[in-house]
This record gives sequence, structure tokens and C-alpha cells, in this order.
Amino acid sequence: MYIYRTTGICPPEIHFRLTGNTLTGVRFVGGGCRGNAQLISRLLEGRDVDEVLPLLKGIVCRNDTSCPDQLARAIELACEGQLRASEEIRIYEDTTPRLKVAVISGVEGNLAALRNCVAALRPKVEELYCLGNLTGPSGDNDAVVELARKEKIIFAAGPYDRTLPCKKPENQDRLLQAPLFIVFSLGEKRILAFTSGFIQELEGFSDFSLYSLELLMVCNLSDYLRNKEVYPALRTMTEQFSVDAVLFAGTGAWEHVRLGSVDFVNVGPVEAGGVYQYALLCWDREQLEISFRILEVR
Amino acid sequence: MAESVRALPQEIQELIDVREWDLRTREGIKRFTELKAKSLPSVALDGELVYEALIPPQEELIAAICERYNKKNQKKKQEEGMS
Repeated sequence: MYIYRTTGICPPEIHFRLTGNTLTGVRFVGGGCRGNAQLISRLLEGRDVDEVLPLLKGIVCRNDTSCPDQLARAIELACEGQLRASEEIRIYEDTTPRLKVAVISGVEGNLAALRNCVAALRPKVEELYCLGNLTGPSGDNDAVVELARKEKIIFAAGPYDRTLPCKKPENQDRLLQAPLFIVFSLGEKRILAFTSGFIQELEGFSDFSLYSLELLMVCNLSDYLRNKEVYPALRTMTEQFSVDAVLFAGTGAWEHVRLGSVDFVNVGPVEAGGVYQYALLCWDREQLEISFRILEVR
Repeated sequence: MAESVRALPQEIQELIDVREWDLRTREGIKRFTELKAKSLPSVALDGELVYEALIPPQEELIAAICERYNKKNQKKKQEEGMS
């Protein structure tokens, strides 16, 4: 995906993809006339750049340029190799509606913790999601990645998962290909899960991409819910959220706060003080129920 | 909020520079926390948070702008008189 920072027009960024000479996924983001921008995107979807460039170039709206003109400049830069494609921020959308799921985080290469969680939780819940970090500085990283792969655990990568090496290249590849956001449905609720704010340091991150708002509100505005003074602003911003609950990790704390109609859930590390912990999310009597549980291992 | 600022009379518009911050962006969040703001919408005058969670009546906003403008002018005149 290409992200072009515009000059002189209302939208601060234009996002698009180029496959060979074919243009797809054009989005003018962060401002401007939404209707017109969507129309342009639809009209350009799948068209050849040589065909569309003459149509876009030289249109003037303000500041001697326009949205189509800026898009033309962006496409030309991309074709000339002067605009680099960014890695896509991977999103895993679990389309199967669930009623009961468990979420763990911070495995950090702790094979026993992951094994025990899988053994104890899999029979009780429909899905076990894992937030990063799956791997850790002193963990058995290859073994946890292999177990996660064998058990088909859906996990969202954390910063260690992106930076710490596994010995086996296939495990490394699996970590690099892991999604950064997981989205799933619980009853009528849509749930977003990610590890932490490190995602915004990745090249492909944009303030205006899908789920960036939720991430920035959690990590930057509320400092992972620690800055309670901004809760009134956070509550207001939840009106623009595209999900009903946001799960995140990375602070070592366990916390559940409801602001507006959105549940914020800070999932702590799977093992602390010799016990295993997880978050249990259930859809029960038309309600989303969230609790933190200790796993009994016999 | 930005609309209420843009709707200020021309003579007031000429005294001020308006900058709008978008809380959906990292830049906007940074400025929001620097100002120690808590609610939306918020208005800061000369970098000082003045209104939070409310849109002030136009007269009140004009009075607050003029007060700051006059104070700055007085200070400037005093400094010029001293030099």
C-alpha cells in the first residue's frame, strides 16, 4: 500500500495500491468531501494508471492543486519509485460469531503457560485469542510459535514478536505474518484486539486507517487507561469507534472500564506470581460480560 | 467549535490566528495533552485552556479574546516606553 502525504488539499493523506499498472483501494483520508472522494475511488477501482493519469492531472480546486491532481502526483511518484510502498497493517477478521471466548497475553515464550491455557481453556470456550507478546527475550520462542501454529491459535503480534528472532525461519515468518489487529464478533458486539501502541511506529501505519482511532485513543490519549483525567474526551470519541469493545495488553495490568457504550479491557500477562490468568468474554442474555479469571491447573 | 470561531466578526478575525486540532491524529492528541485538556470541545487562547466541554456564547468569546489582546498591547506599549 502507498501512503502519500498531500499538500494544499483538505485530506492530509491519500492511500492506494498499485499492482503492476492497476490502481486499487484509493482512499482520500482525514478530511475533504467524503462523497466526492468515495466516488473518485469507485470510478478508479481496478483501472490502468496510464488511462487515469490524464484524467486526474492538472485539475485545480485550491492552492493550485486538487484531490485528483494530488493523486496523479502520488501515482507518478510511485511509478517512478520515489514513493515507497508501506507494509500493510495486517488485520485478522474472524467472521464466525462467538458466544464465549478467552483472551490471554504476554506469553513471552512461556511454553508451559501456553500449553496449560490451551489444555484448560479450549474445552470451555469457542476460541482462544492471544495478544502479544507470544515470544520473549528469554523464552522458548520456537516451541511456543510451533504450539500456536499446531493449535491454530489466533494471535496478534506484539513488539517482541516483530523483533526477536526465532531459530527456525518458518517460525520467524509466521511471526512476521501475524496480524496486528484481530476483530471478532461476540453476540451482537464487535471486538477489536491488539497488543500495544508499537503499531503506530510501523511504516504502514496511518492515523486515518481502520482501527487507528481506537488504538490512538487507548495508547496515546488515555495512556492505556492510566490517564483518567481525559476520560470525558475518550468517552466523546467512542461515538466515532467502529467497534463495541477494545482489548489491549502491554502494560502488565488487568483493567476493565466502560466509557460511553464501549468496553476497554486491559489484558495482563498470562502468568504472574505462579498463576495463570485470562480474560473471559461471554455474550449472555443480550449482554457482553467480561471477567478476569485465574486458571486452575491440576 | 471551529464553526463558532469562524463565525466571529471580521474585526475579531483580524486579531487572531486560528488553529484547529483533530483529536483523531497523533499531533492533535499531543497538543490536547500539552494543554492538559480533558473534554471536548476545548478552546485555548494564547496556549492557555479557557473553555472546556462547552461552546461559549459569541460575546463571551469576543470579550476573552479582546481582554487578552488589550493586555498584550498594554504590555507591549510599556516595554516600548521603557526602552
